Amino acid sequence: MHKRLISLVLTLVLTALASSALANTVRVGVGAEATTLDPRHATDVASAQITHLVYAPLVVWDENLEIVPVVAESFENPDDQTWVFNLREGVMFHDGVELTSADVAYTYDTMRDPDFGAANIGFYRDIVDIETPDDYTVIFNLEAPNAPFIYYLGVGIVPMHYVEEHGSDHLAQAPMGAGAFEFVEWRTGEQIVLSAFDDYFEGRPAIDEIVVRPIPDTITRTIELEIGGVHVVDNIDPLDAERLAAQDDIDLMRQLDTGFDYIGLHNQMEPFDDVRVRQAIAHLIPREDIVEQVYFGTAQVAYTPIIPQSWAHEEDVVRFDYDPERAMELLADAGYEDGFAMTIDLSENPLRRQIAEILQQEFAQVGIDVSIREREWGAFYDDVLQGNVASFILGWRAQTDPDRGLYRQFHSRNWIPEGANRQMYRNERVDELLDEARMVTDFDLRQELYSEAQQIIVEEASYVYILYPENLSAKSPNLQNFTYSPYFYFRELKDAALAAN
Amino acid sequence: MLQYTIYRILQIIPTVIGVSLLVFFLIWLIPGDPAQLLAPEEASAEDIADIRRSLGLDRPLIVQYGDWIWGVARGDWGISLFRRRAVLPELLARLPATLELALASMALSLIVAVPAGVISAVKQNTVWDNIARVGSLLGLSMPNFWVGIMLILLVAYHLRWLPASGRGTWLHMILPAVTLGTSMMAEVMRVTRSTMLEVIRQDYIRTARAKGLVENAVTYKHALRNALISVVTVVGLQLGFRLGGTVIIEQVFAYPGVGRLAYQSMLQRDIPLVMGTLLMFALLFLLINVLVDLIYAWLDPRIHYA
Repeated sequence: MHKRLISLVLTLVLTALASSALANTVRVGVGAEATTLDPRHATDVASAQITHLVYAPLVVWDENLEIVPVVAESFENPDDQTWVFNLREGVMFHDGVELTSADVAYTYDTMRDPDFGAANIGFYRDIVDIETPDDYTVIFNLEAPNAPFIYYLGVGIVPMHYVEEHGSDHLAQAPMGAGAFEFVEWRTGEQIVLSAFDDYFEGRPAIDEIVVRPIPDTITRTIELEIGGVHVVDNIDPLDAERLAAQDDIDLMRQLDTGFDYIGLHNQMEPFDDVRVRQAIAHLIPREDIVEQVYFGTAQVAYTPIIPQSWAHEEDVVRFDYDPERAMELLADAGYEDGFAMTIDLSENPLRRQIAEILQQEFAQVGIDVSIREREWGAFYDDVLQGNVASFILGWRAQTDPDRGLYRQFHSRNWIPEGANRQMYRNERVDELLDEARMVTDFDLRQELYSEAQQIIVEEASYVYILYPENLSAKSPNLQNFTYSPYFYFRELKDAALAAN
Repeated sequence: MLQYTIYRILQIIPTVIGVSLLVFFLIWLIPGDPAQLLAPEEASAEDIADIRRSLGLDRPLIVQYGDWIWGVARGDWGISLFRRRAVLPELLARLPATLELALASMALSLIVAVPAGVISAVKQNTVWDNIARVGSLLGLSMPNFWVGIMLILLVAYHLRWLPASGRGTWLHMILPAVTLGTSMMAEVMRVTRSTMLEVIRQDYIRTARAKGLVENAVTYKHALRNALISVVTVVGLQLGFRLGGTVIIEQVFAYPGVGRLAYQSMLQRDIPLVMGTLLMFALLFLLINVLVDLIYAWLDPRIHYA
């Protein structure tokens, strides 16, 4: 009996040792599980976190939105409607077949095919055709000049021969690309395992293996990092940031995220059809307090729709600082000296709920009676897109080129339900500026156009900007030379190393 | 008996069709559209329409439902809109985790709760009874997610005895099973106790004692066996609910079961996946019901099915 017990204990200990012996395995805890590993469909963060490790795109961009060529060696615009990419030679897919221009063309041709059903099809409608004069040259011919186009080319290139042989559904489950890590296994709900690709064109990663585990609960995910269950986690709760930052054995990684949070006001609905009412509301937002009390300092106050890391971010705009007295004057001018009643709509989101509660108190002091309606995302979002809500708290993310921040939200051509101008804002000058800015490639001219557009948009307070949130992730100090990217997530694991304990 | 079993299993078919019809049309009544949720926030109406068409969501509802039910009849449960993988294999891949967890928590609650309930009844109003009753009250009133987080903090974080989350070894299962078992344990203990109290006052128990049987034989052979009918009912129901997904436990312990999948698919309006998880839950629930009825007959020879 004793012998059996001893052998059982020994087996357990040995198993434990064996699993820790793979010292070069990086374990990653993420907030959500990937849904598909086909990069053409991977529009959710969880899926893109994996596809950016497995596939290599034409280009990526850094935290300052500077373009970094990857599979492309260089690119040029012979004219405003043509993008020519010269590809690197010797970029190999994981099965040993070389990546060529045909794979690039295939990737984007499928994405612009309506029958394929890519969620991002809207980005590629301007493509007239994609030429491949030789194995290492790809030419995108566009219908009209499209300045932000380069930022739509961060999608991982899929191997045409593999997809044609096995089908897209197979690729979504057993991905194969030319990225730094090869796909090994996907146990649904449990983990995805990747291993270093020996022939990766930038050199084999120092890490041998990556195990990505979805750990949806923020508390559990943080604890897993603290007890050494994982080396790195994404999506830290602002509440935990300070505590984690104070620990020696944890590195908190803070970066500005890719967008802003705001209050949308329906510009065609009373009382928000009056610009003075919207400006009054902008004066009632205690942005610093919200950043401190709700985000524990992990956000920056926002006054414009362009993120601070963008070259187009304009500092010189009207600032509607917190000023209840000025708000009261504006309301009185607009004929609302006694205030009014309004509903703030939002989706289930504890941080936004807290913001709404703060606003409820603030607005009460000028006689605005706020009720808060919090609903499940699908129902809430549907109502916003139908134009059924007068005011709502939302975020806008994935901003790269300023066009992606402004055109869809502020051009009157994009009024809901046709587009994403959810507050139904209209200003003819802004329409002109935004149209022109997406058509010209001259950098200085674009900067001027966006500067003017921002000044008008901000002054008219169609949105009331609250803050630019930070993207919070954390890692063990053993994981060296790694920074999480709000745009490409764990991609930099290709250059990271794992130090022994 | 065999005939009855077959009859009961056949009865499942119309029930499942009824439930699936109801749910299919209910999903469409809830605001929110899968194509809209799939599209990026900057998508235009044209983009959303293209996505809707590529997924076949622009067809009349009755056609979509007909397609789905015809597929199910042939063993094809459809393709998830968001995951783009077949629904049935996805569910089958996750089912073992859910079954494992549900059965482990059931076993745990039976091992602890039935004896506790019996002792509590037999030794009514003693200190043992009080401990068991307070314990069950606590078990019922502590929310699952809280118990889970407390266990993680204590056992995984401070003591570092067990892994905090995930699935892999039997060690991974202890904390979620205990968490899930807590409320089930409490429920089973209360039912065992109250039924036992009723049973031990019956005439036939007095007769058994009068025959001179030892107390243990009276309690376990005569009283408990009869009390078990109610216990089996509760356990069957509880197990049915557990198999129907334990969203919160799976969330807290990052446990890869069906519950989380069902929840996500509902939020995303991933219709084939919602229908698939629902179909599976309904099937399991109905099968457990049949099983419970069969156990009744085995426990109580007076019950006959014809």
